[in-house]
Amino acid sequence: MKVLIADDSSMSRKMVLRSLPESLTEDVRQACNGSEVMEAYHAGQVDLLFLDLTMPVMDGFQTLEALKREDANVVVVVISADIQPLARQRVFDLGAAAFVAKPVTAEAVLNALHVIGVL
Amino acid sequence: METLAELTEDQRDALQELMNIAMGQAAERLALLTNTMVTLSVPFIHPLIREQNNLAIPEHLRRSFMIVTRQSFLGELRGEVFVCFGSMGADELAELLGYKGGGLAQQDELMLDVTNILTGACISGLARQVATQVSYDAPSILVHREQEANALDELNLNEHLAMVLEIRFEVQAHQFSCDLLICITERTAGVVVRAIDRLLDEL
Amino acid sequence: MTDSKAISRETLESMLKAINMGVLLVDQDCKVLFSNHFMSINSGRSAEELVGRTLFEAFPELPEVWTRQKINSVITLQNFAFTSWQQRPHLFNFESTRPISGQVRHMYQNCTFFPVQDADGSNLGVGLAISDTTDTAARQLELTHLNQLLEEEKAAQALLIARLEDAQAQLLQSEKMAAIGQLAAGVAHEINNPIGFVCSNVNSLRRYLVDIFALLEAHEQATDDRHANAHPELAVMRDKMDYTFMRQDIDDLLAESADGLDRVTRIVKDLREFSHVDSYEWQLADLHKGLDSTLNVIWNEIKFKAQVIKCYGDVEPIECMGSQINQVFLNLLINASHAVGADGEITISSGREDGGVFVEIADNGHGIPLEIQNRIFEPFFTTKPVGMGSGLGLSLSYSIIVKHHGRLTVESEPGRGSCFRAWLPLRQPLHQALSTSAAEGC
Repeated sequence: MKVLIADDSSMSRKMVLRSLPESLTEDVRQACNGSEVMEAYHAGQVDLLFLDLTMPVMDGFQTLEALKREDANVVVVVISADIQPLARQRVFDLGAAAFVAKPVTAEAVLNALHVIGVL
Repeated sequence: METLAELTEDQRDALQELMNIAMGQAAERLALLTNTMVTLSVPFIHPLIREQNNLAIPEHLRRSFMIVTRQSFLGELRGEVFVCFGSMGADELAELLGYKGGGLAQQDELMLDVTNILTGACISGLARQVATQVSYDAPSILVHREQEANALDELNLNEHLAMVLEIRFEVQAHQFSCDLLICITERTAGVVVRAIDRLLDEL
Repeated sequence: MTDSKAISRETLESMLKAINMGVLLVDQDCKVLFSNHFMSINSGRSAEELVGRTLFEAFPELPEVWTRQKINSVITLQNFAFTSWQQRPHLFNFESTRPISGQVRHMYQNCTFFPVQDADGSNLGVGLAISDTTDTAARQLELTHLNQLLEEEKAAQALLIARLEDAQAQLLQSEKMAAIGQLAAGVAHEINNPIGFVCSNVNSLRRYLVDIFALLEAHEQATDDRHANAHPELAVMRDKMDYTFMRQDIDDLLAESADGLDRVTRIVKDLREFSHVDSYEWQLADLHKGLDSTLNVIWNEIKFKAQVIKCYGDVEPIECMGSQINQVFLNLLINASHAVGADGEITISSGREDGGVFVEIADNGHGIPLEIQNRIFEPFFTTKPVGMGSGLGLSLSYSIIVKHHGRLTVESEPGRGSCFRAWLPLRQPLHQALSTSAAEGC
């Protein structure tokens, strides 16, 4: 499974990386903003996307919209510090499969992956 | 001296992420309390905001604010939060927080309430992540609208500042926004830096 | 808190009861769970009357919506909340804690709301800690009041200083003018005597010459050819001195001298009039006369710069201090001459208006920039280079006109010119005229 982690913070990307189960660590790429995500998607490099919401250039909401427009076959797990119920709702409305609140823990990531049936 | 200027790129990135998370928690609390959606900016870490003994308020904030409040946080992590309120209407927010009618004293009290809520949520969020406990004093008004805006320049900062973080909160539905400046003393900034280092070591 | 076992629950409770500040514990529905002595003493209701009721039954003065939201926020955020005596002086309606010495009637309070957890860590409710800040508040309010008084005094002093500066500027200028006036009067007096005898001498000379020429003509007519032939040297002499021309020229010279003397006499008269010591008194004066004599005094300054156009209206004499009004004309005319460039024009108009008279001095010069138009009457305000203008001329003019119960106004369009307009009443209010003339007279 091709995994992409998108976050402008390198620490945050590392924290997600560290939380991944071993079975998903074979093909992992990283992106710093939404437009890099779209490039990787168009290159056929994304099956599972871990997506931050606050990023420069193109933020998480815009990325979700772009993926939805293209009817992309990508499973999106949103990873965000913005834990307001309304923000979560907006994320699900835009087609995200799961929401994990920051700070990221391995437990929360595993739990989310189980719930959406990736594992 | 563990000033912000000496932070590495990784440390700075980590600090920004810590604040991002703290802000997220603060926004959630504010949203819960007022039943609205709060917009957050990416926190901005000022390189060296201090000029000699004065707090140099960024120009874009200086232009717009009418009231500046302050509140201290005390403990292993010490410092003060300055909240710069613009001129936008806070009337609806007032209603959400249980205020009725107008009046200057009441508007001041509302600003102090918002200061207390944001400071408490942001700093508690930060403190939780760096595994320490903090307490707070009562907020008060530092600069009032009829005073000269540069009254802030005359602040005598007797404890050295180490970090200044700038955050913007916006409640869009109610045309309300304010900017937070979180100032941490040089003596206690080490708590944050050490926590960041621990986090980075674990990765 | 491992030692807490040693301290009984009752001891802790009695400590909370005895502490010298208000302590309340309420649950999420604002029902009072605990209240201490301080609250009972100040509210006049025993703990039994307070506990078990809602905060709003126990303390009807509390605003319910606001208080509930406060309690709610403390529980939701698990964080402190505060009220300060400055914004909310009397949260609880308690009597002042300075019953004898204080001037305040109610107790000022600070209050902290804090989350309280049960032994098992679950939410129990919200604690209120109320501290009495009456003393601080009373002192602070007193200071604020004092501060306000000081500010008022400061403002009054600033006004006084401004007035003093104004008065000093006027004094300086009027002393200067008085000195110039005295000098002018002295010079005029000194010139007056010699001019007097030169005048009378020239007049005598003219009479003598008329007689002498009459005599010469009589001689000529009495002379025949024989006599001419006998004395050819007379004809030679006559030709040599160009008698005919000389005869003609002497008349011209005398006429020119008389004219020159006339002008000197007039200037002396103008100088005396302009600086007249006794015109520091209120008297009826003809403004046109004043304008003319002022124009004569400064004619040299103006004549090469601007053409002066007079549009005098029908104006009767007004009650004024002539020399002072002349000073105003002088200042305005000199300013106008400084303002104009090539093809300068200064127009002086006058007329009757509003039961008084007006004099307008307009120029077609560079005008006054809008941003300084309201400052030009301030003392020491000048746009001229250092040393060129004192910045007193217009302020002095202004105060002179005000002293005459008149108005001095300006209309100016940058690039097109300025028009200064003085309006003066025909007569001064009686008491003012008397007292001022008495003061100025000595």
